[in-house]
Amino acid sequence: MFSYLRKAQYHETDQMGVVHHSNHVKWMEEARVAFMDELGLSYRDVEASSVASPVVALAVEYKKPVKFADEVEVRIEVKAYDGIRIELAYEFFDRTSGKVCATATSKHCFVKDGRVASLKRELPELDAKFAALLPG
Amino acid sequence: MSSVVENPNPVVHSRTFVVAPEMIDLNHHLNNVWPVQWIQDIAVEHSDSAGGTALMRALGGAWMIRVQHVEYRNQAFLGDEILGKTWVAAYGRLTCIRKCRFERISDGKTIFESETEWVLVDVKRGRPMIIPDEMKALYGESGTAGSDSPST
Repeated sequence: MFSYLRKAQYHETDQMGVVHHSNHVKWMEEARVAFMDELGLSYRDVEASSVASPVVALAVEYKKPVKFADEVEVRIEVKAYDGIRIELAYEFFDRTSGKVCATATSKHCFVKDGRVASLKRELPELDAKFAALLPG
Repeated sequence: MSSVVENPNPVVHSRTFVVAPEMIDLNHHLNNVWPVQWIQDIAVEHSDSAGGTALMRALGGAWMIRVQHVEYRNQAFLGDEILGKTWVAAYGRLTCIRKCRFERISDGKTIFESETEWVLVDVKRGRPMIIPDEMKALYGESGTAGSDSPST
């Protein structure tokens, strides 16, 4: 499991004094980018090969509010992968409160020049890394 | 989630959004974060216009999201005009299910859809509160139909 640490910023809080829910989606993207860096093939590298991985679905379950200055670990792992689609699972662990404050999933497909692409053909190194991270 | 009852005659609230330059990402399309903001914006606007926001404040409550699902159906691009529609599809004792659909006006294609479970929270107690019938009526439960339906 890869972990991305994020400190909640003041500008991310709303009138209730808690982090606005849309920021969880931004943090998911930040965690994905960091996760790719950790795998040794950055978003920039992937896009340089004309491969994109747009989000096709998101689901977030909000369990506990996150407050200003809380330190949150966004834990990310590969939930499913078949070479043309990937599903990532996220857990937002609030180090400050010691509680899981949200869980989420994102689904992506891989495309090149506007068409669905096989990662095995386009980026075999990344394909092998995702496959190796599959649970079980 | 507690059992929910379908809202048989929901009021539909509509608004047009335009894809602006700051919403475009490196893939040259609408970034996935903006739809989440639009879903919030249209829900708040609906609540404001229906009188739900005023009633929420009078009750000492606040709506908070428990679960949100977003399905991205098609890409949207710079300058696209997107018609958003939202309605409260179902109620539980403490929650409601709000749905949204956003379609590109030029070709009618659905760009994204969402389903969000909102909880009405008592701000002072920090606990969920029962959604009063008076609140439900504002979104169509009593048969006050909107000018169009979710399917149009």
